[in-house]
Amino acid sequence: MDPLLRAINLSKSFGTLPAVQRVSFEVYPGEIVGLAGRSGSGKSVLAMLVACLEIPHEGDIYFANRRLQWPFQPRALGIEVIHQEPILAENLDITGNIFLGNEIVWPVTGKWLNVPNQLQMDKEAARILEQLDVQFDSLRENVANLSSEQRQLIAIARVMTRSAKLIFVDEPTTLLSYTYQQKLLSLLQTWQQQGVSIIFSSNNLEHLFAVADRIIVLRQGRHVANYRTDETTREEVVATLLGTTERQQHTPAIWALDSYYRAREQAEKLRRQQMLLERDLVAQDTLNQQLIDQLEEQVSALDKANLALQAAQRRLMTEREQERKHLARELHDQVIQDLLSTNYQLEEIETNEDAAAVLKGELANIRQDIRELVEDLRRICGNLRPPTIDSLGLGAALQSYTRQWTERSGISVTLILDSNLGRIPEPIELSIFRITQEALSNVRKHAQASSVEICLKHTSPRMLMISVADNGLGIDTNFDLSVLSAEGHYGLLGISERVALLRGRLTLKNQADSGLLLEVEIPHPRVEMVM
Amino acid sequence: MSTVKDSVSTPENALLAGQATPSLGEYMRTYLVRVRSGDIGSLPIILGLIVIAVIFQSLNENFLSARNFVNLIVQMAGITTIAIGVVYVLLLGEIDLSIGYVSAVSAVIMTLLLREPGGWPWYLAIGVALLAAAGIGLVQGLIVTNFQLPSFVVTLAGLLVWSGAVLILIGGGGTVIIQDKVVIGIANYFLPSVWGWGVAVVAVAWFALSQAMQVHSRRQRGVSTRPLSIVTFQIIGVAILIIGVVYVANQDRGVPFVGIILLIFLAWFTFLATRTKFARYVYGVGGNKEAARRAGIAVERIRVEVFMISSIMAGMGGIVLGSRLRSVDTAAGGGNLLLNSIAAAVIGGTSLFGGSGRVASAFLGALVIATVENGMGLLGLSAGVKFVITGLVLLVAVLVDAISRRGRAQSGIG
Repeated sequence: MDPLLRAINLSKSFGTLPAVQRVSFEVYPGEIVGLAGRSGSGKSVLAMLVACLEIPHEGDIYFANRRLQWPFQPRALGIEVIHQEPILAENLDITGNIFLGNEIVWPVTGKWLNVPNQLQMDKEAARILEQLDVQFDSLRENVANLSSEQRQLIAIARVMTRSAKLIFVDEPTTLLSYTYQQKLLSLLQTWQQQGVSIIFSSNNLEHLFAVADRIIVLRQGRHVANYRTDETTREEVVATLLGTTERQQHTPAIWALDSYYRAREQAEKLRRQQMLLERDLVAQDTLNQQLIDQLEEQVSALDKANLALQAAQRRLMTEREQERKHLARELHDQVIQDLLSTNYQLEEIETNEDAAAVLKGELANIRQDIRELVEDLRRICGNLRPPTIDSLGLGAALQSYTRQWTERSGISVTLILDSNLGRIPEPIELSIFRITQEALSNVRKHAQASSVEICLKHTSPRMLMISVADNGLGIDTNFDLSVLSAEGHYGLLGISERVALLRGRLTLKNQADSGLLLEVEIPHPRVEMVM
Repeated sequence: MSTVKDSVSTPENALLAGQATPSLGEYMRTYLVRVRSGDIGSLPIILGLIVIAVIFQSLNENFLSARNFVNLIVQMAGITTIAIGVVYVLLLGEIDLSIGYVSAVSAVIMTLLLREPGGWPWYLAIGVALLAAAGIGLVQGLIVTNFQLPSFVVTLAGLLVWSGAVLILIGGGGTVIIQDKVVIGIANYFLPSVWGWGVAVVAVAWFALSQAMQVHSRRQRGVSTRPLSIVTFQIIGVAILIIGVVYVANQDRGVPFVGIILLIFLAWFTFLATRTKFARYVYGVGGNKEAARRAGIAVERIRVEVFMISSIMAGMGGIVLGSRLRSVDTAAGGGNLLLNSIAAAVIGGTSLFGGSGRVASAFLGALVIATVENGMGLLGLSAGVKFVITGLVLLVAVLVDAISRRGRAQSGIG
């Protein structure tokens, strides 16, 4: 098979500096020829010569078995060149640049008056840019406003506007990000499959080994080696690049190159990862926001349910109190009255002259029992429903209760009441009463105290504080309500439940000298003064 | 078989469609933003013209008379024609200093060929004169491109050579009279009113049609276009302008024939400089020669062609000028013809550094220069004052351009 391009003894120097010296090579149809060399080895000059941007001092290029006369029109022959640095017509737009020198014209206008078909060109340009995965806001954009990567992609797109026979790709990857580098490599392979010959000049051995069939090595403007990619190693190529056979010298070079490539690739990958991560992060953020919103919804729903539950419990308690009130009335009105009437009857029997003296004694005993029974029932009724609370209010109820309690328990109680306690809503008054009751009961059961101080006062206009302080044993510092309740001690638990229902705060602590201090703070709504 | 035509959903169209047609308000807002950022287009020239007209009218009431208006058209025709060629050369970032005497050369050649007895028919004389001008452009262009010489130097040499050639060709006589009726008619024939109105109708219809077609084609491509109200407004504006010009001209001698020629030149060269492949190449080469070369454009050929256009238009202008004076003398092409022509293009907004400018700028710039000269002529000012004022006008125009360019650079528009 004849080579598509045959360069023979090409030489070019700039001033006294020889850039390319007697370089000869061939490129066969459908072949990717890699061009390796350190910078300054003449790769780009070779690209200039093939693109006819420079004219060699000696040497010839045969293209498709035809000797080219300098200067020739490379694009007319089917030779396209992608340069290291894209040079675009700054005052034309994207489509204009992609099709510059290769405009699609209306068929009717003829050769002399070529009127470009803008519509057709825009369509083609959009198709090609889509193949390259590039997006622009508008094809009317002036290329002067684009980034170097975008400009390089436009230079690549330009090559794709017509079917080339030979494409000289002169290290365009330096301006491209990792993604587009990979895109270009796969593009090279696509072109190869379409039968296009490619000269691929690159500093990146990875890229060369990835796509090239052969690798030509240039050193200081000379063609020094020609390797088949599958028969050579990177060590060999690097050795030729550096021009030394000393392994000691080129091993570090390979390492350096390797780590350089790897670092660059890593950096690119990282950058991409970062980009993806950032995108993910944004997505995550919105997701999180949604989750938070949902959570908030659920929490507020729970709150509502909780409130409903508390209201229900409050209602329940009120009803329980009502029930107790009712029960107390029943006991008082019914049972006690009955017992009293029985007592009267017994009295009648007693006053009967005929009764035996023994029976009299028995009856007296019974009557004494009944009296005690009535006393007990009265006390029960008082506990079930402090009768004073309804009529006289919390202060009076507490006073009366503590007096009785002192009599029963023998523990002295000091009661300090806020002077302007006023009336508080009944459920709260009851709760406070019960809490005090429970606290005193605890003192009697566990504290072994000799005196208790109860204090009821407003800490602020809407906040009521009840403190019960004794001079007893105090409490184990790390007590646990659940453990206490499991052991059958419901007193403190009951207090804490009541406090929670009233949205109050309960604190239990041992006083400095001795004894326990129980403090409950309860907010209460204003009771409208009835004038 | 059913064909589903959905021209919007393809990705290509999505990419093409910048935005849909903006509303009138949006369009005016973008326009104001552009003006504020320095992208002012022809605005300063038009404002300048109004200022100039007001000043001269206040100094001399004959300035805005129908007679002077018709004179103005005839006076500016020569410079405008030459300046059109200059715009092309400037677009490449080149300069052509030989145009003044090239115009004289072709006018002299035509005149000599027409000279009785044995004079050639007018069309052959004009044809040969233009061919000669084209030849001069070709030679100068080839020298510039083949030897990579600065066009300034080559055309400066041309200026000297062709001024000498004029003297040699005219010989001792000093003045050659033109007697051919057609050639004299170029600048001295006035259309009868009816014809004037006919031209007006054709011009308005043509403008409206071209605008409508442009909007239609942009719509079809889904490209952003001007709102219909603006287009209508522009068409009405142009119609009023054309009708006004014809009306005023008909008050005097009628529409000058040379005005029609000018209109045709402007239309044709605007088309050439905007719609064709050649236009892209000229702008491409002017913007970045290396980019054009790498794109496979025959840069040197384009440059030679542009020098030829410049010379041909100079020759055409020379013929118009000769026709107006009905003679050619040894002073032809001299004086400030060259600098006025270049100044016209620059005042109109064409950059001296290539890649930016419009053919219409030649017309606007020439209008400014002709107006100033005409007004000062009416006032009877001395030649010295005329030069000073024309120079200052040029300076102001370039300053405005430079300042607006700085604004553009800062705002990032083009």
